[in-house]
Amino acid sequence: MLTNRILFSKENVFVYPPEIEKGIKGTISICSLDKGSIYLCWIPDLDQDDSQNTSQDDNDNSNTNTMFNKNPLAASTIVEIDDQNSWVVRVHIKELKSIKKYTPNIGTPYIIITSRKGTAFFPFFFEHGGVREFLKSLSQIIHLKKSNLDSNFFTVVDFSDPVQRSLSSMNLSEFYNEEDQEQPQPLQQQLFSEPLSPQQPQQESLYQQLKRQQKLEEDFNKDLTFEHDMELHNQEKDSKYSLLSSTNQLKKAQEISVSLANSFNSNNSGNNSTNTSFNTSSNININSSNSTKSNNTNILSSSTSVLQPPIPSVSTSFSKSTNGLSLSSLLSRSTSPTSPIPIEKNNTSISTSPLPSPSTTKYLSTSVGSDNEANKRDSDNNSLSTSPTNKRALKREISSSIFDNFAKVNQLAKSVQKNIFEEPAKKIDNHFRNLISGSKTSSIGSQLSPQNPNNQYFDILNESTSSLNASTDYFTPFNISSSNFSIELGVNRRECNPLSPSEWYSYFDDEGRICLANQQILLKKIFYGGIDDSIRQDVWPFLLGFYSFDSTYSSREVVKYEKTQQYFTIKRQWESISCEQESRFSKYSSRKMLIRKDVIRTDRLHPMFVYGEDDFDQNPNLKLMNDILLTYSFFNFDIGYVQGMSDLLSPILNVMKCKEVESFWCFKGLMDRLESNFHKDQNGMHTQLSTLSKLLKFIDLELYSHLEQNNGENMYFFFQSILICFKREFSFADVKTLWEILWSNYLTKNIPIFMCLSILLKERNNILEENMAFDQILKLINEKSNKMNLEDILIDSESLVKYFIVKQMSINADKSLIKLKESISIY
Amino acid sequence: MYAFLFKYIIIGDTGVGKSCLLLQFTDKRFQPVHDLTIGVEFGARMITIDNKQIKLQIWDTAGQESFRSITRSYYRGSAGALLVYDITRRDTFNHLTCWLKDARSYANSNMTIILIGNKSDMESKRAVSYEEGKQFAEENGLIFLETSAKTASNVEEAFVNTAGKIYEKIQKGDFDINNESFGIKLGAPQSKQDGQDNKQAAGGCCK
Repeated sequence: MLTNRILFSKENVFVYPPEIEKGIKGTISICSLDKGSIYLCWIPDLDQDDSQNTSQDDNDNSNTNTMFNKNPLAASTIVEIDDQNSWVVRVHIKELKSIKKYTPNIGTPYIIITSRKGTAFFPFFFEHGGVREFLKSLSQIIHLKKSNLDSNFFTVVDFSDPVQRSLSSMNLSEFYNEEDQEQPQPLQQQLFSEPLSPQQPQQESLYQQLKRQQKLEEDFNKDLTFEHDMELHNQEKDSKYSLLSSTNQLKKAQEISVSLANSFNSNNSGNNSTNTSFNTSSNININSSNSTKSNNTNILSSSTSVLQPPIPSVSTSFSKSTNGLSLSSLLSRSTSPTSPIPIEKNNTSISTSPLPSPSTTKYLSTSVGSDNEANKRDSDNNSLSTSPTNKRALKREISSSIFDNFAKVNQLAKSVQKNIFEEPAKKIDNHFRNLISGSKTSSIGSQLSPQNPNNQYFDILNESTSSLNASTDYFTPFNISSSNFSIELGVNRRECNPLSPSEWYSYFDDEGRICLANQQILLKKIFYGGIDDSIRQDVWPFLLGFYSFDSTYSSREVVKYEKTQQYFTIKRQWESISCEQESRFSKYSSRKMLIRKDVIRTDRLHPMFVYGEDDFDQNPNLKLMNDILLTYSFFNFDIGYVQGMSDLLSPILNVMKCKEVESFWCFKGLMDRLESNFHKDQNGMHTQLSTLSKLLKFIDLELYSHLEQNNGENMYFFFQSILICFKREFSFADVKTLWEILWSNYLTKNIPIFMCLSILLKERNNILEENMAFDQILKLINEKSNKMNLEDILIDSESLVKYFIVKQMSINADKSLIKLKESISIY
Repeated sequence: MYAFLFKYIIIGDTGVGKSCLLLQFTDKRFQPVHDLTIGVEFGARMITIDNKQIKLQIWDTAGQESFRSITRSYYRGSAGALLVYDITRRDTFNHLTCWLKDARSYANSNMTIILIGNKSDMESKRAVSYEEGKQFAEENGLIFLETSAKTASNVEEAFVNTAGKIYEKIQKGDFDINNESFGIKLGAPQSKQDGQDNKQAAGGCCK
């Protein structure tokens, strides 16, 4: 039933999902299906393949079959599942956004296709060539525009009509889809998610499609909706776009879009005959695809005439601002302000990974449900009275009453945007300001009344430096009790919430980048609050450099693909060492044994890493840890394996849910930060411990002198803390929080040094009063393990950083202290 | 409340059972899988020799080569060293020369060293014979024992015999008790405070 006419077909096109090393062989084709819609298809070679491309040799059928059953791509928007439970990639050509061609000098050429929603698919490898022909064929059907910057990058221009092209993103299909199904809430969704993809107007329609596909994965009648899209496209192309020739109408269009949302709502509430419940998208699907086809079409046509004009400009207007988010909140006044968030979450998770989990799907549908209700309420309150049969009246009302409200809309939008993007940082700053100005005991506090602490704090601190130095004894951390001290300068992070999923997703632009300004807000947020556990897996790869903040959804797919290949290449290097070879390769052999020995000794009380007697292979997580460490020792042969690395890896495995490739590269990112700790000459460790020693001397000479007399000025009691970033000093959960705080690089990269100092200062009186010798101090510090409150230590540390900054150094101060000071930047 | 305090250091390749020996000695228990030691850990126990209470303060060091520069600093100021190898792993025995060289270079010349072949309970996997261990110890002037941290066999003896040897040296006057770098401290029985106030107390009751 898939086939009608094949416009292009190329065999021997492979995809290589990370799980399947061998890859899957298939055929890529462009075909016009039975209703005239044109699809880009990739179909794996299969026995039971019901597609037109069954003429392949099926050498590795057994292999592929099992893989298909796992359906790794199944949840992707554009992948469909047929009755046989195998899968094909079938993309409506309208959904294509860009194609990047890679033609390496050595190796197989491949292309990466990105959908309008931002999803990139597994690269398609043309083992027997044919990329050029493929692109040529495609360009005969759709307009491919070669990028000015990259001749291998093609963007898909929706229509050939130049007027339409000039109105950058005016693909109307999402609206048709919505009407097609008489679903009001998708418009709202669209508005919600618009800022994430302002140049991808089809996004919302894809959402619906995703939903449809997920609900009716086996239903091939879906073609129908695409077909509708096409028809409607054509209709509108001819008639309506001229209305929008002026860009001045953007604003109006935006207003209209708002009114449209309302009209949809009203429309919906009044028209239960064609539209079943909002919440049951499966019903809708059946509805649209089967019996009510003609009915739907009618409605579509009529509503099209009303809805056409604003639509293209909606997209355009949104493309330049983040107002969409706020608008969305506005539209759902009666829901909580976080209502757009689930959708964003979905959007992002789907985009970053083409394999959303089933839970994501569920999430989507529930959020849609609640939005719906909100919409309903909204529409009830709305003064616009619209009957589904009176579209023209609606149109008039739209253009009159709603236009007046636009200013309000805009204002609200701005304020919501502000809330979303600026609130976290502002809250912190306010809090900080309160703490500072509220503190009476410290003269720093009394001197500070920063109206805008964000930028002025540093200056003010600097100004106050001279007076501080004039009387050094009125404010030292140790003549006030340590608990008092901690509230003086450090932000009370107990009141700072961890980075929530909604916030996280709000930082991305439409392409999936996080701009520099947002990065700073984000990192500050992480520094003070850590990260909600549910999104750690998404955020850590950014903090650890696996993905860069300015990468896009699609470039991340490329990175992921390339890193996967790279990882397995390195892994194969040691995997291929035979026993015989190993017997004459003592360096490898001993390294391997050491890693194995240490892996079972790492976090052995954590449920993930439990080791039963002599059954190393029974716990796959231990095997995974072993493999990653061994692979890293080949990746970084000079360092190889050093004890402590397994401690660094276990939280990563925990957060990355034991995904091998991501865990490896995150671990690599962490090792990049800490590499000098593991150098054979221990230079990194010595540098840090000596800086700590100098810092103590600078801050608390009395305690330093005591340590010096007791041979403790080497600070060796902090060796373990520094080496593995307090991994053993705090609980597993705390360590995850601490590490992301450290990785935010906010304030200074040297927080661990200040943490050591604050731990030491907390024990200052004990040490001095009991005249503790080095071993006693070491014992004391060792015994504090897992008995310290992380937040206290962090607050103290921040206070110490700030205290250190204002305490003036002599001109010939130690270099390491100058360096330390240079590492600090107060935002 | 001790007459003397002796400082020990436990050295040897990684995974030979240093931490397990310490745990067995201080806590009288065995953990088949012990946390990986990073840097230095610490244990203490009181023993009695010649009716005198002696406190053993034991530094358990990380075995891996990379941490050598840190662990070396603990040799200084140790009165005794337990040099441990694993009788089931030949290479840990082969590395003894290297460890001994380190100990001789960084410790004070009077440090008492005991060679310990650990894991004697794993007879079936033995890779280093008792005689080899014994011979190596004799050639290098070390005390020798085979122990099992798992069964506690000879563990007590290893620590106590070493203390006995150190005590002998004290009796012979080999140490300048006032000099703490020998890893020996005299305790003052009056009060804990004084006992730890090393210099004064040590000077006061120097024998």
